[in-house]
Amino acid sequence: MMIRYVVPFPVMNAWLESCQVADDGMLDIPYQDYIAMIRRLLEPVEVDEGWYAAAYPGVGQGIARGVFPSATVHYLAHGYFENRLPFAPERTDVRAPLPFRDIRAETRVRAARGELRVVMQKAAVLGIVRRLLLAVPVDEAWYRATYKGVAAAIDRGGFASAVSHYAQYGYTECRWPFAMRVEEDWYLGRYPDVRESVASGAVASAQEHFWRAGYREGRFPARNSHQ
Amino acid sequence: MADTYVPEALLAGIGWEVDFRASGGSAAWRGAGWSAQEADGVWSVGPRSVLTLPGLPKDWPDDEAATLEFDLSPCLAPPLVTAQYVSLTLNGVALGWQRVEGPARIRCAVAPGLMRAGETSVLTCEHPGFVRLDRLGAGADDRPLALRVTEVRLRRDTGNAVPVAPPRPGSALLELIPFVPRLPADPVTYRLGGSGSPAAELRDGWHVDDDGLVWTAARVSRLVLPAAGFSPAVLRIGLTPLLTKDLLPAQRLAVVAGGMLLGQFSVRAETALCVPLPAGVGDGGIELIFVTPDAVPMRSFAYDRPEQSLGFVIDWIVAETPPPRLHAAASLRGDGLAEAPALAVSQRFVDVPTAELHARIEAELGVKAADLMRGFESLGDNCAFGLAQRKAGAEVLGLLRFANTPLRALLRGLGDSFKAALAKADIELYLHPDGNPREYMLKIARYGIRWHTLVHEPDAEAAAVERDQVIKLGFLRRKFEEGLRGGRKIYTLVRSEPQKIGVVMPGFAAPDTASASRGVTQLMPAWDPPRRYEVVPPPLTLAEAQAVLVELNRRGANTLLYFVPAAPDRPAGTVELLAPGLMRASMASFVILTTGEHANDFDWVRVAANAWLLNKDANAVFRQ
Repeated sequence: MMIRYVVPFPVMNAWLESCQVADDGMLDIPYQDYIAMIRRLLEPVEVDEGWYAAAYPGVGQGIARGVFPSATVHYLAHGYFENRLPFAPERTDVRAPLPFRDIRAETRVRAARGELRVVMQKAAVLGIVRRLLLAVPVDEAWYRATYKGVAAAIDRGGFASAVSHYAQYGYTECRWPFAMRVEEDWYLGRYPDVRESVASGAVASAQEHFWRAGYREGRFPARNSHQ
Repeated sequence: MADTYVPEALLAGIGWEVDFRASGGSAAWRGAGWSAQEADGVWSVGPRSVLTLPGLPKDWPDDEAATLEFDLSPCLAPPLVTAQYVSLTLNGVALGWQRVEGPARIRCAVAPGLMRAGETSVLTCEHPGFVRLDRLGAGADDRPLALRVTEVRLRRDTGNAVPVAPPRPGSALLELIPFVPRLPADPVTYRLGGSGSPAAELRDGWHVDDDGLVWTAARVSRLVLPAAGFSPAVLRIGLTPLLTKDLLPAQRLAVVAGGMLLGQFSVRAETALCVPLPAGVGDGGIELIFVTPDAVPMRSFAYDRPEQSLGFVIDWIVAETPPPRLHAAASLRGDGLAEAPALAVSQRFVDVPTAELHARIEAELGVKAADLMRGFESLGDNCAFGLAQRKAGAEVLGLLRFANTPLRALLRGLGDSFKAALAKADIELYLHPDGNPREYMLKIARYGIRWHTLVHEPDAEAAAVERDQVIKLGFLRRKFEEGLRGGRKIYTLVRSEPQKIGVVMPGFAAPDTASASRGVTQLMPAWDPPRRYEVVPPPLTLAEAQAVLVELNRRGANTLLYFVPAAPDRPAGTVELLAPGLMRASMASFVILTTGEHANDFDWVRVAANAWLLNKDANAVFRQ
């Protein structure tokens, strides 16, 4: 089962703070960790498996031969960083992520032994994060229905759309961009403390726990496809 | 190259000719090391090509000298690779060498008696400067090419009676140069950046950063090593590639000196490489060129020096000439692109069932497996061989048997005879962060080597452990040095210690691909347990093994056995003698568990048996 999920802001923020090397918010991040951060933010992006394999025949052959399990995995591991598109460019119902070449051009680096390191202000990194979040397929109707205050703000013209709100504020406020369904049995088995809470009646279900606390704590809603 | 014109009048002076063009019949004379027939000749492939030559004509006087002529063209990739090196050996007798910069006829005298009437001769042609043009961005040809041969002929050498036929216009006439033995010389270490002497003169394509690291900063970086005062046979280069996991897991590196290619490497970790220098290179200083086709163009980033393309940090370069016993091993090209056949291969016991292995070894070799295993000493990089010895019943003392010794750390230790193991101030005791109970570990920061003590926290006080371990380390160091001087053991070298890396942010769709900054997992307790993954290191290359071998042989004639993954033609347990003093073992897996008996444990014993066999037979001359 493929579950869409966005790495929660508290997790992202804790990691960024661990990379902070000065009081002024300067970060010093191994470049490959920075790449990992970008991958995490791209995970909810829809990859059109059929289109991708056809548009990039070499990748299509690799998938057919089992070199890559899917177009999605190729896209996240390599494709995005090779400036490939996840779906047909003429599509208007989804937004392609900020091209990697643009991110790279804004990424200030220094060369250390054996590796590049990203040396940027936290605010600048979060600016890139926000622009990447514009490609998260926010469920407009669900978002408006779930966050009524946000819907009102959009209606008042404060934000162009739910996507716009999510990228600017919603993500850092730990809002969900779409409904994330919890795999109850897996969740309760994975997190014994939640199982006890459900057993004691403190929370009604794994789904409720994930909504109220689990997501922002960095818990997964279901089995990671690579676990 | 066009046909060489041989005037009719000269034919009388020709013993025979082998025509390598499509119209000729050279296939019958070609042995190993040749590519397929092409219209205008045949290319040599790899470092060595062999010809079986016709014997002398029957009417050839026994006391008459001859001249061997080669018409050939070198594989070049100007402006970087502008020459090939060729040396010839006839029936085991070295004839000489030459540097070839274009179409040429190479001539060499063949002493009377070296070839015989009616008997074929074996001519071995060494050309270690072969080029993979595709890896230099100089075409699509993926063959390791050196020389395209058009004709080989034997000419009667009757003084001036028969004039030499001229090579075609534009083709040079070159006489082979006799070999002059290179005398052993202590290493000269060239400084790069900073202060000290002697210093490498950095020409174009370099960047020295604020930390003093010296970077190749262009696709082509040149430097000059001043004359060492002797004719060096090898260079050892300590370097670190700029890598990004997944996106740039390796960097290619071509090393060129004197217009000749010394190696085309694929480097996946900080390491040291040994590159042999052909005769004639380096006598009066060396212009060294590093070609880095995968260098990272910094203009892609927000970077202060966008014109740079960063490839490698070059830490040091050592020029040296090892003792004669190592010349053959040190002269092998170690980049792994193409290799000459091993001197000898032993594959005994590879198919023997594990239940019978020890008994069969004892029955056939007259030695118990445990005694066999005692004849080896591990240099690292981890405890695998030491554990294999234990499982075979061999408990031996070894300085590095239970140590973690990355290659560069090992070289640092060997380079100063592990003197820090005698200095209490240099030895640090600490507790391993994993495990319950935690194990006391030793570390010598000067080398970057860590040791297991096999003593755990509840069993002893730290001060007592430190006191005992310092004494033990000093004793082991003394035994190690004695072993090196004695030259009786075979030293084993593996690279299998995985790098353990924490995951930055676990994700859903993508494989775990990121490494963690220190402490990240502690900041995110919701990830229970903190997840880590292991990166399997690249297998050792011949060039890396050579770097260790040279260092290992400063004190005595010490054979090195290094391990690589098995291949279809090299099943687990196979050992090859690549050159006197240098063996290579094949293993299916380098993982060995501390407890239990597993099929893989026995491959170490198979390797030991085969290395033992080679050592007392084909490698015996090395130890004398």
